[in-house]
Amino acid sequence: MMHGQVDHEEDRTLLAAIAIGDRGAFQQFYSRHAGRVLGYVRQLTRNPALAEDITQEAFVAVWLKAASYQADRGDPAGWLFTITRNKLVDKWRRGDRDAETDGAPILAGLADPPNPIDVRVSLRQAMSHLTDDQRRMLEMAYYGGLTYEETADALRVPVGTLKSRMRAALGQLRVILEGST
Amino acid sequence: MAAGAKYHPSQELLLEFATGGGDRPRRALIEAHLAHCADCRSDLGRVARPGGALLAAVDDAPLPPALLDRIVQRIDSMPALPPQPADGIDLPPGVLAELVSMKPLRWRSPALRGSRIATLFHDDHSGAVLHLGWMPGGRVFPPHRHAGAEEVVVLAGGYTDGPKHVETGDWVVTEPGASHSPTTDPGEDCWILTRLDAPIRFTGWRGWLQRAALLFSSITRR
Ligand SMILES: [Zn+2]
Repeated sequence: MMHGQVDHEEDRTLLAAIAIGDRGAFQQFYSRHAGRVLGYVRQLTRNPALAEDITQEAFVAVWLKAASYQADRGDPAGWLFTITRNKLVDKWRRGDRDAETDGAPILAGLADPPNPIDVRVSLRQAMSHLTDDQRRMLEMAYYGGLTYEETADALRVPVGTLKSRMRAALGQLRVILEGST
Repeated sequence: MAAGAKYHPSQELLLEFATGGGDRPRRALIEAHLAHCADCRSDLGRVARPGGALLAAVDDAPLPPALLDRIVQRIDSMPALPPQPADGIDLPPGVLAELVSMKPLRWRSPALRGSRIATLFHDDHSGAVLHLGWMPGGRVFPPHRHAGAEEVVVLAGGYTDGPKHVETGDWVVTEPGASHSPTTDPGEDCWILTRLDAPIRFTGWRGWLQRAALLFSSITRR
């Protein structure tokens, strides 16, 4: 599969159609992304039934939220990532024990993807420019299901310190991402 | 609509939103701000991009054929967007998406006259509440204190709150324990979306009434 400008354009067109209730466009969007959404959620939950539930919730949300997607909100993949994470975090919040994960094996798995993939912006590449501390915090925010308080607790730093370090890491990540376009 | 909001959510809140965190009231509030703020939309796009790249790098899982059927069945009973819950204001689509299967709004007048407020929803986990509020132009909302933090996005109109003047799209935070008494701009209805950590308490005689009412209901409920 190709990842690039054209890819995002097609997704944008599909989302615009979904926003006005086009079920065909919805099914196309689903077949383009659902496999990877399910794959991602499965890595985080390791419970196939639950992973399917979360994927279902995520795509119902795609149906409802397509009208709020605007092209200047970034690429549709990032938007879909946010929606998927919403549904995961909701499950974690509700105290669904099966949805819990210790995080480490996931990080290990993702730190070394099986196939080198042509993504315009590689997160791994971007993260290699960060300090270890900054990387760990961003990894927790993107991969884990933790709140700031829980993250601060896990890293044994005060919440205020975490937030200011996160801000610095985010600033750097933004510079790197901007430099890569 | 204003050209752009003056006051914005912090970068931390945008990151939290991009990575799926925040309770439902907070997410709805961010959606409301995004609808009015191109700057935050592009900031959000940037912080969500690593997530998109991450998703793109994941291996496809084989999809059970019944999954799409289940999803289609669910959305068949749903309009692409829920109807607007209140006359006089169009909620942005990102907020509406959170209002599926909502009961009709129940308006209250906490300041006794001149304003109305209705609960959109509660977040059972965090305890936070999202309210929709309306006030006619040129009115003063009575002084009140917030036990928890209050976050507001102005949906229409504007108001003055201490040294600040806020308009459509602005993100306004009132710290826990702070008291204020906003005054709406003359000649224009003001609509706001408010996320409250904890119930507000009125100061002055309204506070006395509120405490008396609470005491009364706690006695009669026994
Ligand atoms: Zn903004």
